[in-house]
Amino acid sequence: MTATYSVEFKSVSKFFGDVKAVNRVDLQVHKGEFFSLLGPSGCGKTTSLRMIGGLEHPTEGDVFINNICVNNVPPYERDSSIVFQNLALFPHMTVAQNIAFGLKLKKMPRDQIKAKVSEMLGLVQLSGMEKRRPDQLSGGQQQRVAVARSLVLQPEVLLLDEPLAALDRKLRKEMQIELRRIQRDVGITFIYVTHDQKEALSMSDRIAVMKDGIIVQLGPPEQIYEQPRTRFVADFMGASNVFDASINQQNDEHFTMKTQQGLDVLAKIGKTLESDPIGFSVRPEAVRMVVGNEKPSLENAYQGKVASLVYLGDVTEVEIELQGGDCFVAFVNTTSQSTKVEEGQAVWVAWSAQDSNLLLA
Amino acid sequence: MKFRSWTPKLLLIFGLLMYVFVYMPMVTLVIYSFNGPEDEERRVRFPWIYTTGEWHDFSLKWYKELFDDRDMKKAFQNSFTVALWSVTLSVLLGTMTAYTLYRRKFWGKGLFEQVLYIPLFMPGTIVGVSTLMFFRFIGLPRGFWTILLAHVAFSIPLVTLVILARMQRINWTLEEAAMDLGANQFTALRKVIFPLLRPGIFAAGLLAFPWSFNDFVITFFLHGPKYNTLPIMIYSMAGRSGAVSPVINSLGTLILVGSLMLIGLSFLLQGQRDQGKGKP
Amino acid sequence: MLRRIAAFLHRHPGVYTSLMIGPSSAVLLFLVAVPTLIILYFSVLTRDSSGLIQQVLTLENYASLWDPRFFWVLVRSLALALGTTMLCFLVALPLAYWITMYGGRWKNLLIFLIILPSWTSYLVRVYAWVFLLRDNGLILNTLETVGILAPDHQVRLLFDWPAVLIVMVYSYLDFMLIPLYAALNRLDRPTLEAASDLGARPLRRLWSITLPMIRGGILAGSVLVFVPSIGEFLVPGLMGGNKVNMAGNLLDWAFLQTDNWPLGAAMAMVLTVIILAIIFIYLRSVGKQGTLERFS
Repeated sequence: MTATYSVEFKSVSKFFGDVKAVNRVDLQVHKGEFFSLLGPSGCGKTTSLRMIGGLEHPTEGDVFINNICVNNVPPYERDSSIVFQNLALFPHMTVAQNIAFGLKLKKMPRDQIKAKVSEMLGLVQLSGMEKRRPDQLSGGQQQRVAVARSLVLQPEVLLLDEPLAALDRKLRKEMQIELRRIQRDVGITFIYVTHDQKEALSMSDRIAVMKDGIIVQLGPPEQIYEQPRTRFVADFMGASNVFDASINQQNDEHFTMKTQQGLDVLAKIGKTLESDPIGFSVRPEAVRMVVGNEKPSLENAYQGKVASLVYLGDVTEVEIELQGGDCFVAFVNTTSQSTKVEEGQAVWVAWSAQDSNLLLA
Repeated sequence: MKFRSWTPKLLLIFGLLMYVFVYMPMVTLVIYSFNGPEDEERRVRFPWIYTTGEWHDFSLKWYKELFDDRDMKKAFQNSFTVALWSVTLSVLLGTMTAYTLYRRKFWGKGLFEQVLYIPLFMPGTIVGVSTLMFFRFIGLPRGFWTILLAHVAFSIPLVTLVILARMQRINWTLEEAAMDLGANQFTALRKVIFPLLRPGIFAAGLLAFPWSFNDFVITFFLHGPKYNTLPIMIYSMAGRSGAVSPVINSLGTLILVGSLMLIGLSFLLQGQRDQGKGKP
Repeated sequence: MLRRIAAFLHRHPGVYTSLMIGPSSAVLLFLVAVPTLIILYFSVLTRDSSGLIQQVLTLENYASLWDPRFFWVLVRSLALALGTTMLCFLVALPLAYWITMYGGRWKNLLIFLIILPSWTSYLVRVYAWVFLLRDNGLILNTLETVGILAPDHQVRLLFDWPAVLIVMVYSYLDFMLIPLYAALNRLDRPTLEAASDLGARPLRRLWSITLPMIRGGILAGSVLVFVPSIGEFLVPGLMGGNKVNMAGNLLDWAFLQTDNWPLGAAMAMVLTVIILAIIFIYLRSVGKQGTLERFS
């Protein structure tokens, strides 16, 4: 009757004493999807992952893998596999033994195991490293072994718990691309836990943003980034222009929002809202800074002064203080000569009504 | 400062004297175990002392006498059997205890930990008489079983502590990883945790063995008329008078050397660089 | 089969925990906790004139401990334990201090070398002291030969207090040394240097800075020496001859030589109460980690 989901939560909760780590979460992860659970530490993302893997038992609700309720299935009989944050490679085994561990427990014939292991090493580009021990590998190589060790079992879903957290930035970026490639190659569902919004944005098909045990927003990366639903999501996704505001006027197409400093801002209603907005956000890339006296022809245009300039290489982050006291941040292309400004200079700030994103409570 | 300049030297001299203090009895014992017998005349005059501190000549006489002694052989066998069983059982139970203490919460855990460590510094005499009364109460006659049970009970805390120390150095995500990859909890223990814990388990066994083999005070209250261990044998040979037969020197030397080897090995294993840390 | 057991235990972690901790709990319960109650039981039984134990409850055994013979044994045991503790402290402090401050990278080895012998046979080591201390033993013989003692001297080392104390310190030294060493090792050296810099003379520094800072270690070491030495009977027996009788010797005498179990049980009970009181007070004053300091 319904579509098959790789993983499904039906009103799942996990309490540790009084702490509600996960609170009545409903979730469906499609087959073959790269799905990210994003949130600050303590938001319940790792607990959710561990409940899928069977390392935690839900206090309430049901967890499904492949449409089968797995509440009473121990981790070693679940069709899921975890790549742990600290990788948990068996230090007393070689790379090949690590990868073969699960297959041996399945009593697979020896030659078949050997073939599978070398196939996997090929997939993660570690051929020839069979005999090494984990402590003889670099961080990135250990990463690949951990992924291979899980993937070789061909699980329904691969669970990754911040596996890149310990790597330096450059290696992290390489591994992100690598993981995405592997996921496309094998077509297995990946559920990826991270607190790094850029990582989630760059890799995922869909992202669930969690806070205090609840999913606050779920959607594709563009939507999460461009249309954060709440102030928390907006902040967490790194939006710089977030304002509390109340509704001043309302018609079928537009809201006029008034900030606490008295600024009137026009916002377009893109979709139906389930409650009244309590604020709005504007991405810094959407904010135009215009030099000169002529008012820009966008719905929202206000005069202000340059408060600070931060040079970031390709762009300059310009902070502009409006007359009422509200501060906006705009990203200005460093290359364009027409926008060279100095601190204290009078400029226009402008953006279109479509770029005013309404925030709910 | 003038004061400072001689403090370290004074401390150094004191420190060296302490090492002499600690090792002198053992070294003397070993040296004199090779001492030859003295002349007959003196032996007749002071029958309760077989040797003096004087050196006569190098001789293996006391070792020969030792190896010819049947009672001694029997006592050695008994000590060895008790120690072997006590180590086996206490290592098994101690490992289970350490695992549970480290990995699980349970009702009464705090109390359990407190009771667990009491035997480690309770006076042996109190331990001896209280277990003696217990065995009498339940009607178990003194002998092999009373000694073994008491030794197991008082080795468990020791073994548990040593293994707990090792467990702190293990990355326990490995257990979860093994279970996630298809191992049930027994397989995970056997294939992943046990190999990493092995040095700790061996170290614990190597400590518990000489402890049990050498224990005198507790065993003293629990041994039966027909079941002697080696320390009891030594004590009864020399008696309460302190007259020391040179055979004891040679026996003592062998015991010291054997114990030192096991202990040294145990500490080597404990200090061994661990592989359990996950990431290098 | 095993698979089903594993699955069952996975669903019921409580059962698994009980199975794992159960055997050692039983051993501790029956061989540590229950015997204490049994001491209590035996200590209130009557021993009739023929030496048989009667199931008649009485407090007479405790009353007879007031007999000067027994009472002074108890006092002497506590005094010996106290003396041993203090001597151990006086000896262990400079040793631990020297190893910590000047041991460098040999620190752990130096400590290990001190405690190594105590893992070997206690009995043999005590006998070795008899060998050294007795009338014709190595020490007196050497002193005679060198000429420090006249050939007809009356000095005796064995069978008296000095010998008992020397060997007691020898036996219990590491119980004091290890907590002191651990505490000194945790000391912040810059703090000590600051004290000197501010003009504290070495002795002054020791008294008002170092000692207060290692108070925890001193306390732990004192309990670890005091408690087991209360019941010591091998050293007083062998080193003191029959002159220096202690509570431990009395237990030996009551249980094994005269078979007067009720009296021995009363004695053991009194000692147990004293020991548990000391441990309790100690644990209350420092929290739990202190007990295990020697193993850390």
